[in-house]
Amino acid sequence: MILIGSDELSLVQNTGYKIMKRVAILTAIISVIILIVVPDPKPYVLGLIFGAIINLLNFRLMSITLNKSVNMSQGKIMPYIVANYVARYLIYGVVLTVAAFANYLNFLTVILGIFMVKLTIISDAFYESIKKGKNKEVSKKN
Amino acid sequence: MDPQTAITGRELILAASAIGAGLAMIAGIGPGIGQGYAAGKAAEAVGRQPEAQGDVIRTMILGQAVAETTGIYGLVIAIILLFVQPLLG
Repeated sequence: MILIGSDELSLVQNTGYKIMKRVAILTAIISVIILIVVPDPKPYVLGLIFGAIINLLNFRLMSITLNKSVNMSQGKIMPYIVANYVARYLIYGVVLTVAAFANYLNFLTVILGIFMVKLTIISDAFYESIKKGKNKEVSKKN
Repeated sequence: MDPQTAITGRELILAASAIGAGLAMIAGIGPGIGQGYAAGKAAEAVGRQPEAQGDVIRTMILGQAVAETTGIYGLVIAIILLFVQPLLG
C-alpha cells in the first residue's frame, strides 16, 4: 500500500483551500452585485450562498473519496467511486428539490451556486493561460 | 370517447414531463463511469510513479469536479420538468 506523503498531501490540500477561498470570494462578489441590482435580493442571495456551500461540501467529499481511492486495489476503485458519486448526486437532488419548493430560496441562484466550483476552476485556467500568453509576449520583446 | 377515461391536455403534459425527466436522468450515468475510470487510471499512474502522487491527485480532483457538473445538468433539467413544471404555463 502506498501512503500519501506530507508534501503531496499539502499540495492537494492547498489546491482545495485555494479553490474554496476563490469560491467564497466569487460568491461574495456576486452577492454584492445582486444586493445592488435586484429590488428584493434576500431569496437570490440566500439561494446563491446555499448552492455554493453545498457545492463546496460536495467538492470536499469528492476530494476525500479520491484521496482514499488512489490507495485501493484496481477492482475496488470503480464500485467505490460510483457509489460515492451516486451519494453526491442524491445530495444535489435533495438540494435542488428543496430549492424548487422553498419560497425563501431562488431556484436559479441555487443552480448558479451549484456550478460555482466549476466556474472557479475554469476561470482560474483561463486566467493562467492569459497570464502565460502575456509572459511569452514580454519575453519575446526582451 | 368516455369522458372519465379521456386524457386532458394537462395530464398529457405532466406525463410527457415525467418521461422527459426520466430521459434527462440518463445523463447522470456517464460521469459516474468516467470518474471511476479516471480514478482507476490515476491509481495506475501513482503505482508507476509514486513521487508524482500529489500532482496526479490534484489534476484528477480538478478534472472530476468539472466532469461531475455535466451530470448535474441532467439532474437540473429533470427537477425543473418535475417540480417547476414550466410547460404547464
